Amino acid sequence: MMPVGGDQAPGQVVAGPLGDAALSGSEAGQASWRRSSAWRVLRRPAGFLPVIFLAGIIMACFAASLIAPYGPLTQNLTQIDQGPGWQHLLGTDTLGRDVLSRLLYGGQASFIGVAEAMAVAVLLAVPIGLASGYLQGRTDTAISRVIDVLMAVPGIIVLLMALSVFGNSLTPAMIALGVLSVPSLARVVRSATIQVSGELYVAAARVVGLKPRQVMWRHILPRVIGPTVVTASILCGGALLVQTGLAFLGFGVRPPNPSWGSMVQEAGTVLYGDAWLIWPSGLVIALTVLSFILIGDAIRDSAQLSRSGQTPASRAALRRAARAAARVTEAPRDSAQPQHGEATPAGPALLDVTDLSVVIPTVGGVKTVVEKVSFSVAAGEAVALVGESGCGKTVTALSILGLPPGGGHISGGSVRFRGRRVDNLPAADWRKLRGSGISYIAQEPIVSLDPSYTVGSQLTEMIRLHDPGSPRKAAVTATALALLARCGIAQPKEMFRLYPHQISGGMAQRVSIARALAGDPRLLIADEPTTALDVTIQAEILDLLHDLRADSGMSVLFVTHDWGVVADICSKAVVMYAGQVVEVAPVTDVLAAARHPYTDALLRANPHLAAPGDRLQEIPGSVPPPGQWPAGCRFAQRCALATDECTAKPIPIKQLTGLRATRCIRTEELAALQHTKDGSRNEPATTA
Amino acid sequence: MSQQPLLSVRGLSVEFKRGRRQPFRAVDNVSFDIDRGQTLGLVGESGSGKSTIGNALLGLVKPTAGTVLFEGRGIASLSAAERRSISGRLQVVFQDPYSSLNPSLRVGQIISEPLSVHTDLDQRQRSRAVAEMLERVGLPPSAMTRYPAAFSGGQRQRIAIARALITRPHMVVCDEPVSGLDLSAQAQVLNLLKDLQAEMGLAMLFISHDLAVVRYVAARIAVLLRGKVVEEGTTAKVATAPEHPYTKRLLAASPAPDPVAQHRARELRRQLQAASATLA
Repeated sequence: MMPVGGDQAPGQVVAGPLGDAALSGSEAGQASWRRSSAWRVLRRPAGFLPVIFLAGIIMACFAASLIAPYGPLTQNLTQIDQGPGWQHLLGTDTLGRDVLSRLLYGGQASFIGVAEAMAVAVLLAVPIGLASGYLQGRTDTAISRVIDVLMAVPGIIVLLMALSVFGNSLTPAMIALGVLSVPSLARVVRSATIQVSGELYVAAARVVGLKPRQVMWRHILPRVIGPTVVTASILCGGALLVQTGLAFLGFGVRPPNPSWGSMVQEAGTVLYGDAWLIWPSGLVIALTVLSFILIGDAIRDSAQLSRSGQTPASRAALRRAARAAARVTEAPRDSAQPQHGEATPAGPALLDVTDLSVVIPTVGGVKTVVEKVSFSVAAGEAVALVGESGCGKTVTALSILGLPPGGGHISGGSVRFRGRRVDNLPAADWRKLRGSGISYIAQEPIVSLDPSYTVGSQLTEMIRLHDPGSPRKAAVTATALALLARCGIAQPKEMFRLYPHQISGGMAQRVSIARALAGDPRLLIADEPTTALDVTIQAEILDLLHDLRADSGMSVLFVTHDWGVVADICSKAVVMYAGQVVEVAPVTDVLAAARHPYTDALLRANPHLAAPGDRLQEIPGSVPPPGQWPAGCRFAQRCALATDECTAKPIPIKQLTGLRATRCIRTEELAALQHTKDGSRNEPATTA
Repeated sequence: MSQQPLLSVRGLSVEFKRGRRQPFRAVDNVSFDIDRGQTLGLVGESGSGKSTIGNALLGLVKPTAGTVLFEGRGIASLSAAERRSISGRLQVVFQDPYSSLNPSLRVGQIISEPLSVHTDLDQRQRSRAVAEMLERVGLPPSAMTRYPAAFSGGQRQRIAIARALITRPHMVVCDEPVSGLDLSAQAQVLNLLKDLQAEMGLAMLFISHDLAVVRYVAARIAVLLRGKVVEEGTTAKVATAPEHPYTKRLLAASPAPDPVAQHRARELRRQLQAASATLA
């Protein structure tokens, strides 16, 4: 399975003794992509029932000559207008014909008509939409104009003309209906094509040298099939209604031959004498149309599911939760809260997290994503929560705020803020605490601001929430302007009037920091607040946070994966791996010599510390996902120092001297290894 | 200078139309050379035009002015058919490993696609070449039958590298190839790129916003600011003794995992800021 992993030849790329977990964990992904999307449609009743109904009725109609109890025209004038019974399951009509048999035979014309219309529509609309969306430019303009004109054509008149020109034959009418459906379908294909064309793999295919035709056929068509099928399915329902409507009006199928529309029409004429007769034909039309539409909805829903499944679903959920958290940190101040400037209670840490465990429900069952995490943040301290993605940093941070993401909840342990237990607070109390006691800034500053309000109104709203006692508008505005100025915005008055989309990412982050500071928090939780920013802007934001902390004595919990940011702003590092804390240490100490092999490997993988020409140290494999954590040390399978003892049983976290702790039993071997490796890491080739 | 460079860019400009407003000049009169087997790092912040330069080399955007010589041949504005004839030798690895692989194709199909365009190998030969390439980038041959969704970000980036290198190109444009990756996956991909480069004699244009990464992979660095190259030189010089104020700012801003150095950098930043404030 591992072609190069076992090979230790120095020149060999030992790029990946691929973590077995990484591959086996995605075994589901091996299933065919298309098969799985069909499965997703069928798995739920909303997809399953209409498919079964439609398949059943289509098969029954086309097998009418085999299964229908009577001929479509067989009359029995002794048994007219009968209700449902054993002899005639759905009763008989005014001429004593069996309704069930007529429905089955009549459906044939309806479905053939729908199929004709859809075949024409799809065959024309897909190439037109693809060409229009992919080639763009003049082709697109020309096609769009033609589509615009077609959309203005009155459909019913065209249909009636087709019927009169072609001697009341249904096929030309349905072909005309198909052509009339082209614009709406082509527009869907076009917009899906434009979206897919923007994906990098299409650019990669062009660089490879594929012809436009090949790019459209191989790379774009498979991705636009989904939306096309959704729209076509809904158009099918419409086509069936048009077809039955025409038959109702007497076009197309000629009496006495049955069709669903003419059966409704016949039943309509005797509605007062025989109220039953309208039901079978009316209901079958309604249910069939409904089935088409429900199938379309089910496909659309499953496509959305699979799209969010492309990136790990939990990550999308995390982002949503983070955004929500950024919004809910806007909460009224508890007037009982001590004002800023008062002495904080001495003794216990400002924030104390003890054995915090968080579970999140997933498709495969409830999974523990954070396990027995303990650390503390002292008043005025800046603590970094460090680790790679998927290690549980963000989940931990959000859970401290009482907002575990993805529908999860805290399953064990406690969170104490100023000595008071907050993990079990009722929602109302949490609202008082968030924003004033603990505040939060997110990674994506622009999305965490509401696009429909100006910066000023979002800021003043927050100030009012936190300080309901100062109703004077001028005072609130002055406070807001002061906050903006304090956050390094040179022209706060201009900024006050702007909307979030009018400002840059760096400015938006300053605004969200200003908003987070509106309630004078004692603890600011910052979740990768500079990751999305340019490096010069990042430096400015870090400088700002540095100064704010120095001025106000506020504590900061900084979630990050960047050791440079850790070194810049934090004094203590809490390193997480696979849902656990693996090392706690003062930042200077951990950067000088890590006490856990994961931390050590992470630091050695950093190109910042490597001399040009050196090889970066790799960490083979990847982080095991929740649910696949080994029983012993979770890093053991990627660790060069691992022994049998490491994998035998869970490794407890061990207190070391100098406020350090590690979850490793081979710290001495690690220290020896660090000693023999070149000491260059202790004097990093810094660029400054 | 006896040998002509593999890639020679002279006076490259790219403008984007903005309706009735003045066109936006994303790349402004940029010139540089890349020798065979050499790596040029292109550093700049978002909006500096660094990706646009890459796209112009790849034929994904049309330059407004300037010449691009690849192996002595002008490629600034080729027809689609002419572009096809060189695309086997000039390839790309994009930033986002999620959007750069077609989710509906199997990994084997993705990697062998360039072969079907540029060679007349049969199905069996192609799949043998794909298996070799997969092994080369550190993935098992069984990866061929899987879909991209089954792989992590770092593994996907290996797949993208395999696709780029399967036609044995002479040059690869790497557009932020490790920006979306965690540190450990980033180290794996950077090592892989360096190894493959040494082995295949590849030239690279390595586009990144991260000076630390560029410093590690590139022999020469060009710094881009608002579409213009403000400084170009050897890595040793640009990364340790920069001349242009913008490069200095960039270096001072790049966070180093060393609290003492960070403290110094903060002081330097403040000085630079104060200096620019007094100038203005």
